[in-house]
Parts: sequence; C-alpha cells; structure tokens
Amino acid sequence: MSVKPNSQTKKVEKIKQGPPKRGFSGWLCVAMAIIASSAVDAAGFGFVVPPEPKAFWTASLTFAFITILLSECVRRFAPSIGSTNNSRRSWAIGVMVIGFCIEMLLRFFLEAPYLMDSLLLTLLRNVMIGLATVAHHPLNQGPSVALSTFVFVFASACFDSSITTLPWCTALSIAFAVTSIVWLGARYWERLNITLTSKVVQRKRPWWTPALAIPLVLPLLIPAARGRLIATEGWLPTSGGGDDASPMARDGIGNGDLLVAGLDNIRSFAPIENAPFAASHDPTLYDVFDDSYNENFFNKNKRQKVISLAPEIHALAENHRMAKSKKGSREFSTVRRPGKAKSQTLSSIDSDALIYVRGRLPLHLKLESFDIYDGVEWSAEPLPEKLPELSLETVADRPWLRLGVQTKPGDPHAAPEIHSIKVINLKTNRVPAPTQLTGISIDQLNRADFFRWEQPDIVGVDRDSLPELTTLHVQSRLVDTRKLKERDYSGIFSQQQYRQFDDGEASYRIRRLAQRWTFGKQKGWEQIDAIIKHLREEYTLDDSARATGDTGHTVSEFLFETKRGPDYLFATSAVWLLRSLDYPARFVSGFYATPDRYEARTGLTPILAEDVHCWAEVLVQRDYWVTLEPSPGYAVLLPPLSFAEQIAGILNLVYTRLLRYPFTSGALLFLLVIGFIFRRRILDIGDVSILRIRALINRNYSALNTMRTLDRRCRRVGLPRPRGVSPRRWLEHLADAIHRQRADPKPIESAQQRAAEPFICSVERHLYDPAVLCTKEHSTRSPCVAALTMWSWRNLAAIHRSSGQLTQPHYSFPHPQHLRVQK
Amino acid sequence: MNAGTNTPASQPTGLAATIDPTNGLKKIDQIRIRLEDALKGKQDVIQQVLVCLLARGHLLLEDRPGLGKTTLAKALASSVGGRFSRLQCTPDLLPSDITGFSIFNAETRQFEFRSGPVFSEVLLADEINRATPRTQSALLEAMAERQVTVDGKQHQLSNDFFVIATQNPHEQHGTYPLPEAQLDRFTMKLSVGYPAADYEAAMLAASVKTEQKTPESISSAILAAGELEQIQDLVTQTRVGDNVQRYLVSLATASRNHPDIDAGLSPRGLLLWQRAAQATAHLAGRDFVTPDDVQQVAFPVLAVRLDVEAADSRNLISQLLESVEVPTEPTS
Repeated sequence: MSVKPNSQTKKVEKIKQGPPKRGFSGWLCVAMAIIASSAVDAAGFGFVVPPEPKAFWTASLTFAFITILLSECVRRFAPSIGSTNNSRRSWAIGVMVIGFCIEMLLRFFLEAPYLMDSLLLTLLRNVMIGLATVAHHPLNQGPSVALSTFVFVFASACFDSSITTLPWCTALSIAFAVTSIVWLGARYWERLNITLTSKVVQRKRPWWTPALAIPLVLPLLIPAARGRLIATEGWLPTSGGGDDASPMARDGIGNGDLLVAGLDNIRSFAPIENAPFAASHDPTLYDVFDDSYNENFFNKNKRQKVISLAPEIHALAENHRMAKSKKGSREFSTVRRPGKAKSQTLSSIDSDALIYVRGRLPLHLKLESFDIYDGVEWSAEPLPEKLPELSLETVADRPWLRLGVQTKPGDPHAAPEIHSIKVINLKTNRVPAPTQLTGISIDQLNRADFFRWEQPDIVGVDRDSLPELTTLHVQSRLVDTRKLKERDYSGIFSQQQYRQFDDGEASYRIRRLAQRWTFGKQKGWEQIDAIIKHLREEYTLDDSARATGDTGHTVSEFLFETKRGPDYLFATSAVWLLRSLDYPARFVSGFYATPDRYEARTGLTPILAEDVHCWAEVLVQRDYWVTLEPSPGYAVLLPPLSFAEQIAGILNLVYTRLLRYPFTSGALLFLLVIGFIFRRRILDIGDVSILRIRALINRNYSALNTMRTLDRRCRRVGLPRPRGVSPRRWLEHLADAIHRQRADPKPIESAQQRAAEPFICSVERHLYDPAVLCTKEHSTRSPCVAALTMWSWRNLAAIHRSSGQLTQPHYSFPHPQHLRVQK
Repeated sequence: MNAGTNTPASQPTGLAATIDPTNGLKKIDQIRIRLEDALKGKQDVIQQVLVCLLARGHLLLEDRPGLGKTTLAKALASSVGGRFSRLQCTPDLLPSDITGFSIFNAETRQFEFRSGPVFSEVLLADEINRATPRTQSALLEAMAERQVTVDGKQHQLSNDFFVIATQNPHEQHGTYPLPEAQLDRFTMKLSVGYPAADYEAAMLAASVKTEQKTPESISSAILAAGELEQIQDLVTQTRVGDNVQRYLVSLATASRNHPDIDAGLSPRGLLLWQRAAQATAHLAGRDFVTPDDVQQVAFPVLAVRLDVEAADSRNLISQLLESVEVPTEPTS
C-alpha cells in the first residue's frame, strides 16, 4: 500500500523537474554512436554498398540527424525510457525487432536479403543507436559506449585499401579515439558526483535465471566436436563446400565462393578445366587393390581346363594387358599371396582418405565389373558396341551428364538420389558411382565429350585420372526388389556372358548346393536372398585366408573345403551360385563406404585404402542391376522408405519383438497399462516418498512442503483447490466431506482430524505470519503425518467417487471461539 | 424530542489496568454471550458487530423494523460500559440535535455548550435515511474525526465512539439515500434478518418467564473505562504479511476492474478492510492475519461500498473472491 503512493510521488516530482538533462558524457555517447555508425557505412556494411564518398556522407549525416532527433524526442517526451534496467532491455530489444522486421520486409518483398554479417552488424548498430538515444540516463552510457566500441572496431577491421572512403576512415578512427578518451574523463567526474548524491538500489536477480542458458549451452558441452556441430548447424548461412548456398552468406573461410570457383587456390577445389593434371607417384587403383589383397601369383599347379570363351573376349584381354598400368579393365584373380596385407599409408598427401562421400550410407561405389570366370580369374567386362549416348543438360544451374537411361512406366525403381563424392588420392579416370547410375555432375564442366563409357554402367573421364579434390555429384536409383515379379528374374534377354557357367564337376556340386539352399523357395528374390543368406551365415569372412587354387576352382574350394575367405571369394561364390540357377549375375569391385567412418563434423564419410571391396550384382528385367552383398558384416543400401513405410516398419519391429519375447513384452505392456491407469497414484507415492526423504535429511517435516504435497494430491484425485479458497478452508471442507460420507465416523478419524489441526495452524503461520522467520520452527512431524493420513489418497478418492467435483465452500466461517477452543 | 441519552452503565470497580490479549478476549467473549442473549440465533451478525467494534469502525444495519437492531445496540452499549444515545432520525431533525448547541446562561451571562447525543460511547442513529442530507452530513465529521465543531469550537468525542445506524431499505418515500461519502465512513453494512424458528420460540418463552426484566435492564458494563481502547490498540498490532496485503490489493483492483461495479474499493475502504481482518484474526486468537480473515469480513465491508442491489452484491463479492488467487507462497 505504501509503495504505490511513493512511486507516484516520484513520478510527479520528475515531471515537475522537467526532462532529464543530458550531461556532457551523454552527448559524447551520442557522438561515439554516430562515428561508429559512419564507420559501418564506410566499411561497406551499411546501406551504401559499395561505399562511395558522396553516398557515404549522405548516409552518415542522415543517421547522425536521425540519432540526434530521436534522442531529443526520447529525452523530452518519453524520459522514462531507459530509466531502469528493464526499460533499457525492452527498448534495446524493441529496436532490434524493428530492424529484423525491416530486413524481413526487404527479403520478402524486394527479394534483396542482407548478407548475414551485414544483417547482424546492422542490428547491432540499431541497438547501439537505441542505447545512445537514452544515454541521458547514466545507466545506459556504459552499454552504449561498449557497443559503439565493438561496432567501430569490427567495422574498422574491414577497412582496406580497396574502399574509396579510406581517407575518411582514418579521420573516423581518430575522432572515435579522441571522443572515447574524453568520454572516459567526463564519465569519471560525473560518476564521482553521482556516487556522492545518489543511492543505487540493486535488485537481486532470480536464482533460476542462469537456467535459461542451459538449452543453449548444453549441446555445446556434449563431448567431441560432433555435439557442437549438430548444435550449431543451420544457425548461420554458409556457401560453398557443401550442398548449401545461401544468398545471405558472404565468402566462407576455406570454402567460400572464391574457392568454389577455383580462383583463390586452384588446388583447393579445382574445376576440371583448370586442374593441374600433373603426373605424380600417388597410388593407382590397382595398387590399392594389391595393397589390400596382396598381389596375385601364377599357380604352377593350376589345372588346365577348357572353358568356352568367345574370341573377342580373348582379344579384349590382350588390350587390357596393354593398358594395365594406367587404366582399369584387367582380370581379377581370386588366387592371391597368403598372409595379411601390409598396411601402407600414402605419404604424398596428408589425408589417408582416397575419396570422401556425402549421402546415405552404406554405399557400394562400383569401379569395375567382371563377367567371365574361368575358375580362378575374373575377366573384366568388355565394352559393348552399342551404348547409350551421353548428353549434357543443365538442372538448377548445374551441368548434369545424362547416361541415356530411359524411364519406363512401371519401373521397379525407388526415387533417384544424389551422392557427392570428393576425390582426394585416387588415381583413376573412372567415376566411382553406385549401380544404376543415371547422371553425373561436376561443377562448371559443361561438355559431354569429356566423359566416356569405360564399362557398361561405368563412366570415366577422358583424362588419365580425376584431379585431386574434384567433387562429383552422382545420381542413381536403386531397384526396389519388392516391386519385382517372378518373371523379372528370368534374365532371358540378357547377354550370355552374365549366364556363363561350366559343366565341370565342381560346378555340378555348386549347382546342387544352390538347389539345396533354394529348395522350396519361389523363383526370384526369394531364391537369391536364400543364397545370400546362406553365404552370410554359414561362411566366415577372413581377409587373411587365401584360396590356393589347387583344385582349379576357387569357388568350389571355398564353398566345400575352407569355408572362409575374403570378400572376393564370397562375391565369386555368390555369382557362381546364382548363375548355376540361371540368374544373370556379375562380379563387381570398387569401394564400400561404411557408416562406421561417418564424420558428423564434416558430414562426410572417408573411404580409405582398406575399403576396397568386391560384391555381386544380379540382373533383373532387361537391364537393371541389383547390388548383392554376400560378405557378412557388409550391408546394402536399401531404397529410402516413405513415411508410411517407416511407420509400418516400426510397427512391424514392435510386432516382431512382441512375438519374439512374448512374456517380457506382455509383462512390460501390462506394467505400462497399469502405470498409465494409476499414473496419478504413482506420482503421489513418489511425491510423498520425496517428502519423507527430505524429512529424514532435515530431521523434521516441513509443514509447507506437506501442504503442497496435499495440494498436488487433491489435484491428482480430481478435487483441486479453487483459486479463491485458502488451504485451511479447503482441507476443512474435505474433512467435513469425509465425515459426511461416513455417517458414523470412527473415533480414530476424529483423532486424526484433531491431530491434523496443528498442521493447518502451522501452515498458516508459515504462510502468513511475517514474524515466523524470526522464530524457530517447532517439530511438525506428528501433525504432518496426521495430515497425510487424514487427507489420504483413499479418503479423497472416496469423496471423488461419491460426489465427483465438490462444490466450492461458501464464504461462511466457523465461530472464531470454536477455533480458539480447538487450538 | 427525537434524541435521548442514557446514563452510563455501572462500571466495574477500579481503574482499568493494562489488559493482556487473553483477558481481552475473555471479556470480548462475555460481551458476545450477552449479545447472543439479547439477539438469539444471530452469531454471525454478532461476530461482525464485534469485529466492527474492535476495528474502531462504524456499523450500518439495513433491515426492517423490529428485528432487534436497537436491542443489539443497547446490549452493546451496556457491555462496553459507555453512554448509549439513540437518535430517531426524521426529516425535521436538525444538525444541532445531533451535535449539541450553545445556550445563553442568564446567571453566568455566558453561552454554555449543551452536548448532543454524539457525546456518547454508542450512538444508535435509527432510520438514518429519513434525516435530511444536511443532518446526515453533521454525522460525517463525528464519524471520521471523532470530534464535532459547534460555533467554531471543536469538541472531542469519546475514543470509544461507535455509531450504529439503521435504515429500512424497503421504504423509499420520504427518505434521503446516504451519499457515498457518508457510506464510505461506515466500516460495515449488516443485515440482521429474521431469526430461525427455534430461536423465535425460545425468545417467546424467555419473554414470558422474564417479562419484567429485559437483558439490558439487568446488565452491567463488562469492560472498564479504557479497556476497549486497549483492546482496539491490540488489534492494530496484529501482524499482516506482505502476501496478505498484496492479496487485499488484488481484491481491491479486481473490484475496480469488475464490469458490473461502477466504483471500486477506495483506499480508505481498503484500510478499513485490513483493520477489520486484523480484528477478525484477533478474535480468533491469532496474532497474524490470514486470507480467511480477509474473506470473512469481505461481505459486510464491500456491501457498504459497492453501489449495487443487496441481492447482487453477494454474487458480485463471491465472484471477486473467487477470481483472486489466495496466496500460498510464504511471506517474504
């Protein structure tokens, strides 16, 4: 009651005194803000881009005029603005919000967004001017000067010789330095005066305010850089280096526009045309394979046999030998030197990654395919005479090489998806890409004749190798095997080379094995899956194991004798088993991008030398290849699931788990249902337990905590205390209801109520008696326990069941003498 | 003559010693018993009358004739041990009939002041709305300042001066409704109402047995001179936490913002409300005020100030009390 008249009196006194005077230091604050604002314009962050002397002066003088006018208006007509911390905060936030609104309007209506740093600096400048306009209150001078200094230093750091306003920048720097020094002096003397005459009352900040920063700080405290990256990703616009190119982003650091264009450092991110195609001693693709699997050797005991080979294949093999030192397409032997491969690091380049991949994982990147197998060696697939024509089209300002893949209605494909591949250390001219490739894009490369077919479904560039740090975007589409029908697997239209199979004894055993594995399975994916599953489950992946080749058929040796081996034996066996059942299949080598190596910091997955991998592909319909992964521990990228499929998948998983663990699931479900039904009761038990634990720790019950527990209990039961009713009246009202409900109350209940009466008195005293802080709290254990018993969950629930919501008690009160007698 | 003054009831022997709260409450309880004997079955009304007395306020009784208003006032006057004056207000009642007047004494050849009925401890102004506004306003200074000014000379009234005014709300002819300024000087407005049937029967029976002895005729004062003032001082010492005071302010603000209330509670009304709540707490034997005390006196305190019909006022006050949350955080 007494506060209100005082504050009014103060206001009246202030009005009588007239507007507050702006001291010398106040004027200096305004001057510093104007100089800092001019520096922003001079540096080219403001409205004047690029800064020219005439436009710079116009903008600077306009801002100076606005600042002085606004500060005078605020001082004369709204002197209360900025007079308190809260008011200053509101004013600063208001100014900032207005700046944001203007920017939004510009962005949406004029489609002229500020650059992000310009926007932030402009907002800071707005706040700075806002604070300068209320600098007649000494309270605001510190923040105003601090912000002016920051803005000026930031803007002056961007002064360089390229800007035409450089002479004025020097003058501004001198002016700001002089003004700030004079302000320090003026402020010192004024503060002395204020200290002698005024009394500063500081309001204590609520204890919980630091908790507001927890959501911001917590992600940054997550171990490793990954958490910080996730926490900050998307907050600032970026351009270059990734898929994003925000119009609000200025040049980035290390990955900006200049780098993307290759103008800054050609080796950092080189477009093909400007790339240095210098020869180097970096490992070739074949070196990488040999490093991983050891070199092949000629087996003297190799059993010669006759296999059916087309004459042109033999001729092609000759060609490959000629080109083996530089190009791919040579044979792949399944007989290699024993022992674990020596790990070799690449010394010429800092990174040990061959390529980086961005996109969904796991990913099989195909580099070479093989079709003819002679029992030991795979022959590379020849280039057919007729291949689709390569053409170039521009999509979203990006050139895309189209591989002439026709899209037919009813295609069993999922939606196309794009993976980005950055070549680091790999020396091959082939584009590592997933199967069913449909398009390739290299930035600024707009010539289709730069590409050529290397093998079916494999494209290379017309150079010796892909330049370092080239980024490729490859578009592919996965075959959704669920959409395939039985006839799609017949492979009758496919070339014979994919169905090559011999009639030797070993192959006969292999066919019998395949038939045994697929017995009872429907032709098509079911049989293929059965073969792959058997291989993955019954055979052991062992990179150090080697086939001897003594039997002349490494597949037979692997399947029936050793039953362990590296991935190429798995892949060869898979192909041979599939071919034995007349499925057209081929052997593929390349890289496997494993999700284990995914780096959240960069969003990339490095592929190292040891990630070379061999797998199988099966042909469906006429010309769609499906990746098969027979090696255990490897996985195949599945088509992206639609939302409905994801939901169905989750439901299916839950259903499967329920069926697999029926008793555990049933018990869990039962507990969940019971927990949900009795959730309020459980919460109440927890509440009372906490109360009792606190009582144990403090060696005494707290009447207030007990009252709050009872309050929550009433709410959970469904008898919430009305807002206009005191705890005493509500508890007494409930006690009356308990007694009314039982016409013949047991003596114990009356005793409970009598015992609980001191509890209510204690609550009232703690709540409303200003002198209670000075008195020592008496033991309230018994009354609190009695109150918890009197207004127990059972009693309250009984009232709720019988009468539902209790009517609010009337505002009539018992005889005061009655209360005194009870007390 | 419209006004009459009774001699003071016989005082308890001896000077009033400093009274402690326990003894004070015992004496108040004796007064309560005497009032309950006089006005049977009206404990609630008696409670509020006592609250009003201890809060040093004035009481407006609004009801039909014959419901015991005068009986109540007389019983109270006899209990507090002071002079009782009754003022039957009529349109021809003059201000000097209330305050007193100066008369020329031929022997001393000087004007002498003859005090009016306001110079008493308990003043019953019966049917106050029948007096002219000029006469009504004569009571203003007496009620607010506890003094009267006659012929430019101030005369101090008793510290225990307590006005019980009555009015009949159902007779509107020839009446002058009390102005807001005067209404605001009353702490409470109460309605006695008809007694319950059992109490009426008991009253009849008591009347037959003790036909010759009315309660006031046999009564003697319970409080010694000055004791009421001491108890009233004790009431003022009852502590009020800042959360309860904020609660009071919230209620006052709610009354000012209520769409059906033209003029909300005045600051003076708020002060009287707090004092009444203190008196209620004191009567309950507490030395601090709770929101229940505030609510308990809300109806009589607000009823005299809200310019609405009696039937509506109860609903409105209930709405006000329901709309403001009772503080459940400790006082700071």
